Amino acid sequence: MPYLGSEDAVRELRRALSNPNVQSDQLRYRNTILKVIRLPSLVEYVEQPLTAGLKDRAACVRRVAVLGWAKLHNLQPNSEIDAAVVNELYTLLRDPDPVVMVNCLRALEEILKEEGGVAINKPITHHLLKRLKESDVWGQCEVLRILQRYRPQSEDELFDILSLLDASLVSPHPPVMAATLSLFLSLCSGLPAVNLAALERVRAPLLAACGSVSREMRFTALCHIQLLLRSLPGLMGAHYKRFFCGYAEPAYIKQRKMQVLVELVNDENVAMLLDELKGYCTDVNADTAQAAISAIGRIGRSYSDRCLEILTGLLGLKQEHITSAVVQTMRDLVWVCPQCSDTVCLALEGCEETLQDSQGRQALLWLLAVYGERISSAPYTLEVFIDGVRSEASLGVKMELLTTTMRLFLCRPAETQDMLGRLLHYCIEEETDMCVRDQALLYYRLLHCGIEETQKVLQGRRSDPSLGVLIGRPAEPISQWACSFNTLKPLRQGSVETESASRGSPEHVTFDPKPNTDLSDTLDCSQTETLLYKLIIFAHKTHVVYKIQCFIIKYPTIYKPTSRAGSKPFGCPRRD
Amino acid sequence: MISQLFILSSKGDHLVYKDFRGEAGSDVVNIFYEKVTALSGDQPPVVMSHKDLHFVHVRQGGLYWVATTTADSSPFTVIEFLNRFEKTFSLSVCLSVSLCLSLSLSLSLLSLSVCLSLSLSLCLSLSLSLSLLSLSVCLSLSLSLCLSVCLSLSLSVCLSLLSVCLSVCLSCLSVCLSVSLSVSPLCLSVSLSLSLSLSLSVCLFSVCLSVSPLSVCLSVCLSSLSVCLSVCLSVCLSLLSVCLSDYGYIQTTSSDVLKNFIQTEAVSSRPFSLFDLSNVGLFGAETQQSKVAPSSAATRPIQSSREQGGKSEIFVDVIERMSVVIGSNGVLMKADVEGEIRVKCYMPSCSEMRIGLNEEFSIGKSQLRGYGAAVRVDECSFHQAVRLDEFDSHRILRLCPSQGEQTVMQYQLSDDLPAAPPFRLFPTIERDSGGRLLMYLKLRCDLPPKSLSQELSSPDQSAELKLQSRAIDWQIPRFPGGTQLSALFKLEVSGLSAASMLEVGPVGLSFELPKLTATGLQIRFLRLSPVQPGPSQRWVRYVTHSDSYIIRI
Repeated sequence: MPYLGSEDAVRELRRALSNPNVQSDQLRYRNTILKVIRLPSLVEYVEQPLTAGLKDRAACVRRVAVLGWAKLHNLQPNSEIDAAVVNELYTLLRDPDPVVMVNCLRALEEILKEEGGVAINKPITHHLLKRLKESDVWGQCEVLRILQRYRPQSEDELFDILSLLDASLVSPHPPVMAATLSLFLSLCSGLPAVNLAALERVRAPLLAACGSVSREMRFTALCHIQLLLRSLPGLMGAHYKRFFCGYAEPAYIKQRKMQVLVELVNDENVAMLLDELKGYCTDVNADTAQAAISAIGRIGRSYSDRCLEILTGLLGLKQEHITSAVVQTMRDLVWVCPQCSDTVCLALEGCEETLQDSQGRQALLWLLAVYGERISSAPYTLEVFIDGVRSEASLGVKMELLTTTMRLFLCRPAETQDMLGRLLHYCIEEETDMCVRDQALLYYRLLHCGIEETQKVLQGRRSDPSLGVLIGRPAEPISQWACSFNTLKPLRQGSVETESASRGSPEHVTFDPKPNTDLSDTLDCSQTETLLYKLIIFAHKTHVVYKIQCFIIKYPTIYKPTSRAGSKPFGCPRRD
Repeated sequence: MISQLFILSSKGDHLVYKDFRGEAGSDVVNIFYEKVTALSGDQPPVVMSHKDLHFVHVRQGGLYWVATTTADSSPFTVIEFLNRFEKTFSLSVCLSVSLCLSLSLSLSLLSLSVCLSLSLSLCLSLSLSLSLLSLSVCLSLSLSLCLSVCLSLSLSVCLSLLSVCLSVCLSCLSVCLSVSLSVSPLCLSVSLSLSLSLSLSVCLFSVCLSVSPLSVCLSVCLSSLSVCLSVCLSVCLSLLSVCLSDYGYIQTTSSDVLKNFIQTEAVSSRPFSLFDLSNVGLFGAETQQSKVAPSSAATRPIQSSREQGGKSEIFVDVIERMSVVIGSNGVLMKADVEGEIRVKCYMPSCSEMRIGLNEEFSIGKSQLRGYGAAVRVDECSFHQAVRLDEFDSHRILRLCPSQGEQTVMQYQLSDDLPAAPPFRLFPTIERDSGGRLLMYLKLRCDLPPKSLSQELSSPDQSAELKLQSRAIDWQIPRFPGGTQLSALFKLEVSGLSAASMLEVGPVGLSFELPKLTATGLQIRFLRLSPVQPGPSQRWVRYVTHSDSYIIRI
């Protein structure tokens, strides 16, 4: 700040401050206070004008003076809090000017931060609520936010407050609406029925915010709708058309809208929704197109026939990024719905030519491994991969290729034996990457143990074992997300967390406690496997990576998540 | 709570930076810009974070309006504030631009008359002094609060002015260009492009005239214009950002308060000399009273002067935005209308206003009124100042409009439009023998014809292929109701196959329909009470925009 250095400036400021009537000129008072507040050496001079400012006739001066105390406190955080000032600020809560009132709340929040902020008791609450209508949007938001700390003493009082706030709940201003809902959720944390009613009530203003002119406001509203849907999946069902994407909307809004659309699908609207999503699949933006394709895949878990038809049709476009996304989506779909495998196997023929990126090729290899005996051209496809292994850059593809060749060898030995030999020879003799080499060595030794053992290790599951009858996602209790409502959290942590939270299927679990217990259970039941497993573990004990690889071989169920762990939600491929 | 607020151009120029709480350094601007440029595409997410800093930004008109805040602040509030701020700001810029234009015009006239009577050498020195004069006018315009900003500006600008004058005298194109570029970091991109184009034209002009006094005075006028622009921008902005939020807390955005900070007319004050800066205190706080207008001038309402010469006008705008999806078989798949009634009031005193809507106006599905074609909306909300006692019986809104702009009513209608969608498309897409893509588009406007003279194909249409977004942009300047336009596009596409025909589409239309509302909402009457003395003008305007109008192929 240039004005801080000059000695003249400091002298002038000091003179201005020692003038007993400094607050008579409102703007000058404001300027002086604003400047002094950054100048610790002048702090002693500023207290007197601030005290006088609190009692000034002009509301503008009082506004500045009230916040001035907050700034002063921030300059000297260790100094003692002047009880007289705090009392004065509490009295100023009754100030006729609403901005002064709100500023008092803000100042007390800052000054009393250590004590947990401004004390909110019954008279203050009622006073604030009574004057809520006088202040503007910003003031209302601030008051509503601070009132969240209040706990009503009786149920009658609670319902009185709620009925007072009902008008703000449907306010046309999104900030007020959001702050009120947030207050509702915190006041009625013990009354889920009231909370649900509030969510229903807030639907119309939220939808209006979704159609606001400002793109950023739309995005914010969308993110919060996603939160609400976690507890009340049926909330927006009838309004699914409001979430259709506009032509010129930015990609981040389109992708959020698709996430919402997937949640809203039901028997009546599925045809419309799929038709709409199909239109997005050829979007110019590759990320949007991929998001649309994986959205169709998600819907495919409940309506597999229609979705597979669309996905197969998309393969015909022979577009690189579309094909890759479709193959990845099919892999995810087959994992959850094994009954789709016939259609998928038919569709896969010939798509390896268009696949270029490593994520898509890994997905194709995984499908070849699991359904190798049903895809007639599988060995030929694999041969192309093995011939090109020298120029292969991606580590993931190489690892996947090894496993796939092994598994295909188990079901179609005659066609695969030769190429498996070539691959193992290349990987052990020429490959420079230690991971690939060790994996190849592992398989080589495994084959020495005999075909029985190999089969035991490699023959994994083809679908999600925990999958039972298809049921909708259970509604989460509101308290799970209430604290993050109306904060930046739902906007920021974007897709990643909402995604994994909303899916909740084991395909996405990483090496967390759950699979571990799973693992030990299975291990107990077969002694030989345990031995083998331990052997492998001990052999590579020094290296975590190898351990994981061994898990992978043994338990392909876990393998899935590792290959997906780093990938973006909705199947956007990682750019290597 | 906002701790910093800054405006970045899309090329990374720091236009405005304001720190409210002093919690983080000014390098956050660079951090933000690095984050934006690191992302592919031009659509960075609204919220980005760096350590415990959170950037919330709004992108408007090629500029990033960014606020840094804490994690638990409400995104609705911050975004709404940024939007309002952007609106107020562009309004004040409009005002100051018009002010500057009039100023520089009068200046140029003055200098023209002077220059013509003087020789070239004299003229040079005069134009210099003139430019100083124009600067002083700018300075008197600017408020004392921002004096230091202005001074730092004016010193560098004065130098650039000098070189501008010299360069025009030499009538050298390249020098002039570089000079206006040197001015650019001070101005917004708007003023940059303006001054660039203007100085270009001036250069050409002066080339024609060779060294003439006229070109000199023109250059003076132009440079004063660009200086005025940049000065006014910085003044408005720093004023606004100070009075909008104090210590990071939003204080007020009410137009009644803010209008006092936006000058709409030149305030005459004593000529200001740049050469005795020595006794001017920094930042305008302790300036000697004789040199600068008192700081209280900033809060003095401009009302009195406006009342004398200002018009007393009121505008009631009904603005609707349509979003429509029409399927490939021509079926209307989705139709939403979001509308609002906006009142712009420039009346000095207006105690009450009554707006009458259609009698048949009904809200919700069950409620139907009247026997004519019902005007129905699904949801409707009103500004809190609107009194609705006569709304149920007579559909009359009563309110006391404050000066400025406010949204009185917002409404939505989904799926049930009273009339057919305004545009239909009949596409034929095929592949010709040469492997080219043929697109034959027939676009029909189903609005009722308004004029008798119907031109069937407008001659000034244009079409352009945009490779970046893989789209064809077909521009139709005018499209009367009840007519039909057709276009044939032939595209050379490498590797065109039968399957790639599926990739064609959709067609997105963006249009503006004046004098029309999609819901059929009309304003029956607009009454002001008490009846305004003198001539007052009341305007009712209707317009429908396309939010997104998609026709699938």
